[in-house]
Amino acid sequence: MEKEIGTIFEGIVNGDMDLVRTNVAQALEKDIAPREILNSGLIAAMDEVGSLFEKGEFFVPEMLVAARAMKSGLEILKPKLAEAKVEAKGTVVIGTVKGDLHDIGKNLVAIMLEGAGFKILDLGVDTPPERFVTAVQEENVDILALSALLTTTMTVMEETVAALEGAGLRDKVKVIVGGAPVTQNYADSIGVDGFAPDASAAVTVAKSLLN
Amino acid sequence: MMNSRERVMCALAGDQPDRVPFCEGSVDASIARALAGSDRDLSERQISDMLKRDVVVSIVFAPYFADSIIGSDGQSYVTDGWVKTREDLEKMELPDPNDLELYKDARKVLDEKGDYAAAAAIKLGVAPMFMSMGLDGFSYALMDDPDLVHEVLRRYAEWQIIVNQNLVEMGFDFLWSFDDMAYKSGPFCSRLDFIEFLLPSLQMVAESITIPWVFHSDGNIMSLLDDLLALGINGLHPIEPGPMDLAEVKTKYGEDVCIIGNVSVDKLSSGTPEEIDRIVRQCIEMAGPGGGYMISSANSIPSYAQPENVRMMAQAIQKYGRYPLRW
Repeated sequence: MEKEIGTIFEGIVNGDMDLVRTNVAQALEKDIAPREILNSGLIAAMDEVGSLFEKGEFFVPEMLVAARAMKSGLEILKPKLAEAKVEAKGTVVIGTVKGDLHDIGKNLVAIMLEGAGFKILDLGVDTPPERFVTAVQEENVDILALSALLTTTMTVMEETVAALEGAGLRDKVKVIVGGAPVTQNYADSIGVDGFAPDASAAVTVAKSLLN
Repeated sequence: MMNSRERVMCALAGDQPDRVPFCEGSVDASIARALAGSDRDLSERQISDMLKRDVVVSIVFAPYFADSIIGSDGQSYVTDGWVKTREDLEKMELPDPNDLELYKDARKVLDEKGDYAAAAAIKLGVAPMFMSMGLDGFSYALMDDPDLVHEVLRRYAEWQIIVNQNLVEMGFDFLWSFDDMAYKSGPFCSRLDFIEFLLPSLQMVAESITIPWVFHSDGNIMSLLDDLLALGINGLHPIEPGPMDLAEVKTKYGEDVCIIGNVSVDKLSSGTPEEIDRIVRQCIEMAGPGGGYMISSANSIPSYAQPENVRMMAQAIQKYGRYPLRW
C-alpha cells in the first residue's frame, strides 16, 4: 500500500483533517487511482472507526471528528472520482419521520453511511410519508432509512411503508429503520428490510442489503 | 403516618418510609388537564393533590444558546448550538442569577407546597453545554480547542452555583439536576473525556449543593456511576428501562443512593392500564424492599402519555407501595 493511503487511514481514525487533506492531494499528485484512495483510505478508515465504536473504544465525538476528516479528504477527491466514473455504493434517502424533530441519531447514521461510500439524500426531520415517496420516485434510491425517537412517531414508519406500497414503490427500495424506541421486533412487524440499533450497525445492515 | 415531605426525605436518606414515595418530576400540562377534566392548567400543588404525588417541582433551568423549533406537541427542540468557537462565547448571555424574576415560579411553588417535598429542577451545566455547543461542536472542540469546552462548562457552573445557593436559601427540600449524558448504548463521550472535561465542572457545582439532591440522566450511565456517586448524589433518576436494569442498580448501588424510577414512558403512552399496574408492582418489588426507593416514570409524563395509564400508575402506587411490602 502506498504511504499516503496509510497516512490517510490514520489521519481519519485520529480525526486529523489537515493530514488527510494533504495526503489525499499528494496521493492524487502521485497518480494513485481515486478509487484506491477512496476504498483503501477513506472507506477503510471509516470501517475501522465503526468497528472501534462497536467495541466501545470509540464514542460519538471520535466518530464525528473522524467523519469530518473523511469529508475533508472526500471534498478534494470528489471531482477526480467523477472524472474516473467511480460510483457510490448506493443511494440512501434518510429522514426522521413526520411529527418527530429529533435529528442527532439520524445525522450520525447519515455520516457513517457517507463514510462507507453511500450517496446520501437527507430529507431532514418531520418528513411526511409523501416526501419519502416523492424522493424514491424521483431519485435512483437503493435504501430508504427512517428514524424516529418517540413511541408515538414510530408508528409513522408503518404509514411511510404503506405509502410506498400505495405508490407501487415498495419493491424498488430496501427500507431500514432505527431510533430509540425501535426494535427488531417492531421492524419485523411492519415488514421492513432492516433494523439498526446504532449508526455503525446501520452501515453493516445497509451493506448487507445491497449485497 | 408520614407526610409527603417526611416520606420523600426519608427515602432520599436511604431509609424506609411508611410507603414508597411517588416522586414524579414533570407531568405535562395537557395530561394534568385531561385527568382533572379541566380546561385550565393545574398548579404543581393541584397535580400532587390529584395524583397523590409526594413532590412539587419548580423548574429553574439555565438557558441554552441554540437554535430551536417548536414541534406539533408544543415542545421546543434544539436544532443546533451557537457556541462553536471562542468568538461565539459572547453569545452566552446568562441572566443575572440573583434576579428575583428568575425565581418567580419557584416562589409560587414554595408558597403553596404545604406538606409536600419541594424540589427545584436544575441543570448542572453539562446538558446546557451539549445543547449550546451541539454534539458536533463539542466533539470538534475536543480536537481543535479543548479549553473552549472547559470555558463553556465553567460559565454554566459558576452561574449554577449562585442559583443553587439561592434555591437552598428559599427553602427547597432538595435539588434535582437534569443533565443527560448518555445514549441507550452508553455515555456521550469516553470515560477519559468525561473525567477530563465533565467531571471537574460537575464537582464544582456538586460541592455547592448543601441539601439532598437527585441526579438525572437518560441512557446507559452504568460505566459512569461510580464517578457520579462520588459527587455525593443522594438520589439517582430515572434508571431508563432497557439500557439500565432496575434490579441490578438496586443490588449494586441500593446501599449508596436512593433509586428513583422507572415506569416505562413507552408503556405509559402505548400500553394498557393493566400493563401499567403490573409494571408499577414490578418496580416496587424490585427496588422497594428496605426503602431508599421512590417510584416515578422513567423520564417524565409527556404529552403523548395516555391519561388513563397515568391514573392507573398513581392508583397502583397506592395499592402496592405501602410498607411493609406485601403481595
